[in-house]
Amino acid sequence: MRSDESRAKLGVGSSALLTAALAVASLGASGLAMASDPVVFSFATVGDSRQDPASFDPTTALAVGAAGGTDQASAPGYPSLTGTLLPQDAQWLTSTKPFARILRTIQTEKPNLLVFNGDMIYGYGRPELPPQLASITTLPTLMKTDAVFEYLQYAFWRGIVAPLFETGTYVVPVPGNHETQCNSSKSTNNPNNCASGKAAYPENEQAFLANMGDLIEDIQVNERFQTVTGAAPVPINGFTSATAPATGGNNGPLNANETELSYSFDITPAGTTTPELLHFVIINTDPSGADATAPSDWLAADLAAAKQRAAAAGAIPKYFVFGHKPAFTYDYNLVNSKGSNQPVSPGGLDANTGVDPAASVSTDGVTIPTGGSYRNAFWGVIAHYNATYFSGHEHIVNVQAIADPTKSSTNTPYQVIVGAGGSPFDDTLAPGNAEPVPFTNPWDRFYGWALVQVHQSGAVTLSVQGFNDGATFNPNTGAISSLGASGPLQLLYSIPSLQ
Amino acid sequence: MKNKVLMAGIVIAAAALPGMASAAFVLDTGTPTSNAMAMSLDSGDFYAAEFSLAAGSTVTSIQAYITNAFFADSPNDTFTLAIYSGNNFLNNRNAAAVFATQGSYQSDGWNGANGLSWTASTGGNYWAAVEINPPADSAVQLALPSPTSGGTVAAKDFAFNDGSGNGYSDAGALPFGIQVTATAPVPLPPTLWLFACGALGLGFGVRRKGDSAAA
Repeated sequence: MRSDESRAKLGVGSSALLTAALAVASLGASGLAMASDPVVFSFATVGDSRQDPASFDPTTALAVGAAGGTDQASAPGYPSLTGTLLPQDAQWLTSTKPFARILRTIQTEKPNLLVFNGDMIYGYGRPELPPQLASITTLPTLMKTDAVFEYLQYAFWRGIVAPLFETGTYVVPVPGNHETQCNSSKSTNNPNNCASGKAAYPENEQAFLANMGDLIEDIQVNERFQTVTGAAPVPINGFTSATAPATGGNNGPLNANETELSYSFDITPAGTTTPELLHFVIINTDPSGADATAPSDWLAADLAAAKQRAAAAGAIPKYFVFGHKPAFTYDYNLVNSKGSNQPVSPGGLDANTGVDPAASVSTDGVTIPTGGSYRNAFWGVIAHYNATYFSGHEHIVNVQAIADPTKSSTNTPYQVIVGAGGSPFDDTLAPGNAEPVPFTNPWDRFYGWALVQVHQSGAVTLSVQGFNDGATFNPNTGAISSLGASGPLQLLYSIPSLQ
Repeated sequence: MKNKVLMAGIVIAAAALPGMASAAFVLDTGTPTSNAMAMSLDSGDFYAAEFSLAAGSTVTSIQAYITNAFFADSPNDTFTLAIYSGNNFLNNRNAAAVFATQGSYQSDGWNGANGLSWTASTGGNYWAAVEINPPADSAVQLALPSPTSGGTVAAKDFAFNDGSGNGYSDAGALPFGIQVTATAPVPLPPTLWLFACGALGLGFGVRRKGDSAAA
């Protein structure tokens, strides 16, 4: 067991390695324990299945040409680093092959929920009725306008996940920055009606709700949630404007209605030895008016109320929070002595500097100093409740126990990044298409997802499974010697006691 | 007279002994060095290892090193153990097993099936596969730890099938623990030679007794 002091001193890289080592050491024993401790409720979570029309990962490119070849390296349809993007993926901008394999395996595991942590579409446009509509005179141009183009991407994604409902898994959507933001630098925007740079817009949030809202509202109306999962959801916050995050303070300067963009619900699983209250919270980390923030004041009140409900029911609470952007950016770059490889720039909630949230956040009778940081306010709340935070955004898998930077709590809750649902890997291939060896973590170029299982005893376990890009390479130089369709399915992380 | 009967018995027993050949590993990758960081085996992901087998050899046991990892499979959950011919096996979506049976998971370690009696009609390379094929198999997901060490008969190659429809591929495949035991075919010519020697010896002894009696 690490001391609190040593936890605080752990850097991102060393923390990841230690977590992996702990997982290795504990896996055997925990596996034995689990065999006699049945699973009573489980959920899978992953994010980022969107493809990139310009910067796709070369390992997802396919060879084209005449049929008849037998060598995988050159046969049509097989992976080729110099190939092209599958037309299907280029049109609907989903990385279908790895995402479909992930979903297929999740279906065999039959979790009750799949929480998808955002970036289900490439998006990045401004899905509104364009002022230039009168000048759009051809059907192809109309079909490429932001609203139509994004709605098509949403529909394609909804079709891909539809079979999960038939095998007992309900899909819970989380908004990501590719859904809520418009990016002026993207050539796919038509017409380009967003301001310079990247920013979230109310139209984007409403487009998300127009295409995902039925899944969220069913938590209230329960038309199919319970029949799919076997568990009755209890909607708590975020389903009306009165209970959605309000602007100001540690929620950030929101400028639109956040109803059903940040929301929460309870599930009380049957069959536990002692009553358990599972509290699920979805947060929008790129709301209109407050990009790269978490609604920490709203979250603090929501978790405090969940704790009180559990106490009133004589239940043990478990807190699971899902957002698109990580609180702490995982640095997958190894900085070499020549300085040619630089640390990864913060891209999560830690990217939001130069703003001034409230000086503190209050919850459960404690006051947590934010130090002027949205990230600190958020993680201080997460740590107080020892919640687990699941995110995407970084196209990578990484599991870390992270100390509370506000030092208000000695808890070291887990941040679980599972943004490797098919989108181009953040740890990109080196020039010449070599793997970026040595990896900071051997799983840095693995597609992967998390499976969380709540057991009869109340124990909560986490496993992250995945497969690599199919490359066989020299571990010293990274030179790729062959490229298969995909790699074998492997266990990447195993945490025997998540909370 | 008693000596002749005893001698005849020894000769017959000697002739029969080669037919009771003992079983030996024809594939033994050794035990995985850890239970952790394993490959995940489910209905969409299969694994196989290549080995060679002489014509007439009979496979009597297939064991794979399996853990339940985090997937809480129960004792007696079943999976499939299959043997494929090495001819045109890789990247063949239509490869058909020449033999298949069910194994059962009991506890972390070597799990599989004993008491098998499949005989290879032709010698050559074969693949031993570990698969979960619902609905016949009750296991949902098992784990195959990697890497291995200390084996006595190394695998010629490893392959996995990710369920994408292209069959097994050896590109990027990782080693896992698997053992195949077989009995060698009966070496017929030496048996006959030994039997013939015994018969000749017996005949020679009878003739000498006859000669002595005549004198």
